[in-house]
Amino acid sequence: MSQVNLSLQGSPPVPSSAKELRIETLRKSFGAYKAIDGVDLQVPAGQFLTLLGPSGSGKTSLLMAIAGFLRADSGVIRLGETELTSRPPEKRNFGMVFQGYALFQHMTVEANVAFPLRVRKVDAATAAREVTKALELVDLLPLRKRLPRELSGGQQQRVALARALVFKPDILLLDEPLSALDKSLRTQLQWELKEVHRRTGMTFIYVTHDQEEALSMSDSITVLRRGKVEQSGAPDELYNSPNSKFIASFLGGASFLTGTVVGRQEKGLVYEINGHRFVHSRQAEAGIGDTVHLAIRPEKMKILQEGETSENVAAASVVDVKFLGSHFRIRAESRVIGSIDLDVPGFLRLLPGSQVVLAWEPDASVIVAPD
Amino acid sequence: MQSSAKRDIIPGRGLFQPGRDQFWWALVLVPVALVVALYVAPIINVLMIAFTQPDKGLESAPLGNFSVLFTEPAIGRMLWRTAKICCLTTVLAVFLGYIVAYVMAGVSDRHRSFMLLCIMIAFWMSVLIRTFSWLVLLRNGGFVHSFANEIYTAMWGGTTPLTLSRTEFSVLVGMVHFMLPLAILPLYIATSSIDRRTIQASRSLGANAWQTFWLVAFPQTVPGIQGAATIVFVFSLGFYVTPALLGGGKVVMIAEYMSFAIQQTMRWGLATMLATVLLFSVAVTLIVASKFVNISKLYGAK
Repeated sequence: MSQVNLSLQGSPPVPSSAKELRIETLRKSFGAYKAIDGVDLQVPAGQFLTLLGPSGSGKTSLLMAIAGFLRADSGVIRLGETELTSRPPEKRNFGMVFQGYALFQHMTVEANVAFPLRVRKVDAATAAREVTKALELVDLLPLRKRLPRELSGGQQQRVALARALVFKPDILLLDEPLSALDKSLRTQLQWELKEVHRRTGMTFIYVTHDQEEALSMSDSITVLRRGKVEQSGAPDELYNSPNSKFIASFLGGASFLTGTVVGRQEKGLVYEINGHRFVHSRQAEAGIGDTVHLAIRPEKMKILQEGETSENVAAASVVDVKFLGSHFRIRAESRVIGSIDLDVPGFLRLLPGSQVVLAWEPDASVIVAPD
Repeated sequence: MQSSAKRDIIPGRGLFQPGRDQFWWALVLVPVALVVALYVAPIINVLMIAFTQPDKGLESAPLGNFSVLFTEPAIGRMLWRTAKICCLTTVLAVFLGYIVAYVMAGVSDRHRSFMLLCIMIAFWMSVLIRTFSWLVLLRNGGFVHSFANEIYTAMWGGTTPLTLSRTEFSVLVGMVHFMLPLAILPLYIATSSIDRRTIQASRSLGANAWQTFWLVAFPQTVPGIQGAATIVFVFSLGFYVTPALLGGGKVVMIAEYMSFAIQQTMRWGLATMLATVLLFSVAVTLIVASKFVNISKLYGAK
């Protein structure tokens, strides 16, 4: 028993046959609408990559192009040395989990999972063994004789997962697989998916519009917007150093300041908003006289207490208070810097109308590109 | 407040008050009366004649009118021919209709509307016009006949000219043509409700187009096929005009035979006996089919 547990730990066992997926300047238009507008993407073997974006951002189109259901107008899709661009879906050897599961309703759980092996003419004994393994992986072996409609949503999703894994595809593609489930079940299945990723060592490409899901599950996130890659990187990198207003607000939320650079000091950049001066100490390429847009995360903004001082302060009044369980989210309106969202701990009892002094560290702000 | 709420829940007085079940049932009374007077009563009358008024010479036969089923070989042959042509019509109409329905489910909206229009035009056109058109095409020297003869002579060196009209073949052509719209519509409902994502899932799991059709798409349409087959078969059984015209008296099926017995030979016992057989066959078909369709619904759709 303990041996099994031990073997599951450590770095994922990336299969030696695993190959990197490379996408080069992929384009796809529907009439005048550019669904994919010159996307470059590299997915190292064994990575859990999330394609994140609002609806209409092209994330599903991109996934469908990778799967082979959407023929790109131009560009190249390559797995290792093999070019896949014009291969039909069934010749790509990618597993796919669909939104809404897409199980075969006329087949039992077992027959659904055996399907990829059946069409590959795998012999019956091997197929039975692999199906058992796949069903064990998703903890559904006792339900193998059931029909899909006799299962709950979460169980159906696990059948779809087992079916997509059983033939050991090169890559597993997941198209918003959890969007139909309720929140607690979704969290549960997120853990399970991570576990399956760890145990199989397979490359996962996961499409979602849920930023929390993306942040919590991925090795790497690619944010898409209007068919283009807006920013790529590890979850913490994207969260802490968003390079645009869009990323900052889409991933986690932020307040935005717009100021004019008026000087430089050893600590960083001095900028002015409505006659008040503030300091920004993180990376900055702006010169004096430039307009800068800064994003500040709600948890980086504070309320100045009696006797405290800070480099950046602004008076404001509370306009809205939302209780979020572990903390409050407050919206404050400042005559100087405008509307600001911030998180305050539960013991601070603030009501709409309270006068406060907002404060933030020089390294709390991030310079972002405007929209 | 309270009094008005109370008044609302007091049921209306009188039997035929809107909102009460009796009111809705009362609305149905008129059509029900019509059906009983014009449909159920004559059918009972027919059944009565079949069982109680034997034709001349059958008064002492053990099964009355029904004994000719076993004593007259011509009637047996006619029933067998009817069954054969109806089965062939069903198979052909469902097979051809399935192809059309499958294509219709796949094409663009514009093309689908056009296809639907063509089918509906054929459907609405009088059965007489459609049957006579085939008569013209299939008769000796008709367009289809000459064309078929050319090919027959050129490719197989046929010496005796083909006969197409007044054969089982011509009856089959006319019946399939008539039944196709009836088959296509339920089949189209089945093919258009195939879950597109299961098709994609199948392809992504490694199945080629053909495997995807047989293993994933086709099973989803089986209830539609059963429904279409039932409709076509039941309609074919009692079909009169087309077999009578295209068979030209040589390919006589049950409906024409009955009409003949009533109008020409005045053997009402025979005619009503055949009507009873027909009614019985339709009932059996429907009962068997309803079992199938229910099973498949439990299995697939629900």
